[in-house]
Amino acid sequence: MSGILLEARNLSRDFPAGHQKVVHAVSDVSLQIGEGETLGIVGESGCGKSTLGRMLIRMIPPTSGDVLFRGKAFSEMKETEFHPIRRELQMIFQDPYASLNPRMNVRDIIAEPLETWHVCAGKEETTQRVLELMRDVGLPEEFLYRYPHQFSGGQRQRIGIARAIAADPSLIVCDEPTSALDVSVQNQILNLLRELQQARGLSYLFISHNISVVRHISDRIAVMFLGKICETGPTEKVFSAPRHPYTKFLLEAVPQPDPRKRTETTALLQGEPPSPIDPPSGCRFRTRCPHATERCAAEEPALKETAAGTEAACHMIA
Amino acid sequence: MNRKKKIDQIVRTAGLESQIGEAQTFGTMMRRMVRENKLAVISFGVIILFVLAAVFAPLLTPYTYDEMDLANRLAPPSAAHLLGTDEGGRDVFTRLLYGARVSLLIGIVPTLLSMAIGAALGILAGFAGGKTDTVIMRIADVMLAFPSILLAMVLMYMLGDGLINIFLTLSIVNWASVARVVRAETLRLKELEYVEAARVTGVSRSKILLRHILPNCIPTLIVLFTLNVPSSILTESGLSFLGLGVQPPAASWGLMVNQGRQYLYTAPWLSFAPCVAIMLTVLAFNFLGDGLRDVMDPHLQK
Repeated sequence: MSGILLEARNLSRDFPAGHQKVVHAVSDVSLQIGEGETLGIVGESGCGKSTLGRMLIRMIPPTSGDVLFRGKAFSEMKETEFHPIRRELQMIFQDPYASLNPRMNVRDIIAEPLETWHVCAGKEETTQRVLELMRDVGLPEEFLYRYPHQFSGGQRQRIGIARAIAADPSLIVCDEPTSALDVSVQNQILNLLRELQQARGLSYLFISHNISVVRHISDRIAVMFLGKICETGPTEKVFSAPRHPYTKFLLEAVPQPDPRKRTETTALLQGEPPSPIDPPSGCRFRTRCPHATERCAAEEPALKETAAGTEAACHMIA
Repeated sequence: MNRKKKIDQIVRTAGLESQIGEAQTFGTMMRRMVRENKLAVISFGVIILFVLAAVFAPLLTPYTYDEMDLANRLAPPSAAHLLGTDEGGRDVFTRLLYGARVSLLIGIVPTLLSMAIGAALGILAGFAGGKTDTVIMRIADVMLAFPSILLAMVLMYMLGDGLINIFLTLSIVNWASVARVVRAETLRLKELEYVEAARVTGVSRSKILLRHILPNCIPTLIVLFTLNVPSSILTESGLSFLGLGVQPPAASWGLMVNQGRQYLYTAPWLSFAPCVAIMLTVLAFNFLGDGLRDVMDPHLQK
């Protein structure tokens, strides 16, 4: 990992929830993404993954905290100053059906970023560039003038990827890009993302609730629970020696395809996740944690380095 | 011949054809409509026919629209008077042709005008939100709170007679409902992921409106258009009835329907002819609108 591309410092985002209540979608998250690196974010539905991803590319303003792109803070930039950076930060969406305008053909969809950023001179060159991009993402060129509804989910996601890479960004936020796809297609898309990363030196923030998918693609991962990062580190270290109880539960919940390796005593998390409107005091995981003590209710654990070379936010880790 | 078609079919389904095809343009869409939607083509023909009849009215009839022939009052249809005569002995067919000038203009011009105003304000309100939205929609609410015929009467009193003033009045009366519908559609569309994707791409707000929101409002706008054309024609007849629109002896279809009302039992052709004309116009616009909507919908291609 060479230099740091994007850094989040103490990012928080609250949403008003009516009756003077507030949803704490993301609370005090700090992270870094290196050049050419993939950072995976895992966590259950509603833990603030997508909000975090959108804050990192300035699609949602944070309530507090800041994001730095190549050392420049978002908070110090006006919208006009930020505009050139918009090109560097792209996104791939979860729903390949909703993320493509049904009234635009493939050429126009992929050409939109090229035209917005004046990448090519003239229509002819733009079309040529679109055809190259289609080849890069594995779409046959005879699809050029077809419309989104004529494609399968996987092909649509390829169109979305071509659109995201068209203007040569440096970071792409992938917001659950495979969760709406068949398992067989998921793999193709993941491999495509990896090929593109190698060819173009892209960085990814890869958001998913599927821990196996994140493991497959990420260099480092961050596990989120209720708006906070509870454990982060290099992917293999987190997977081989999870320290935070929530990470352990997540890993245990992954179905084991080999029946001989299955254990009878798979511990499952009890109860419902606590509400982000009224999070528990201290450690947010304590209401579901089998090891919780009084200290967990009184004091919020900070991310600390563990023996395994990861960071975890838990009082139980010495 | 049949065999060649079959081979083409096989080649196509097997995906062996590796040509890119061509992009949809206005021309290809129209050609496709001509090929696939005969009803829309016929409707378009009917509208053109009516327009031509209105333009060349003096050439198509030996009478003028206000030529009275009191000896021949309320005459039934005959060779001399194709659609009979009215209570002043004026030729109904002639009045129908001249009335088309007024009624077609009144059906189309204020409808387009009110839709342009309503769509622009509705999209703006829905997309901008906040104060802009509140101001535009409260004005629209005030417009909608008046009974439309009452509002039209007041405006006609203020503006005075004349075709231009009728256009203005009908546009002012109708824009608010268009704005409401378009705003709702915009609110729905702007939350969709492809609009967010366009924002991530860095597309400017005006381009998002023009490329992503407006084209997806078109089906709604077409439906509104086909609904508002007859309502404009009929509102004009209401105004004429109240003495505020076109005044006899000038003719409009709405006015003719109203005039014939008194003689519905003795001379039904007086009302019947303009009613059929209005109905044909409305149907033609409806079918043409359907055809345009279908041909612009990528889902219905191929």
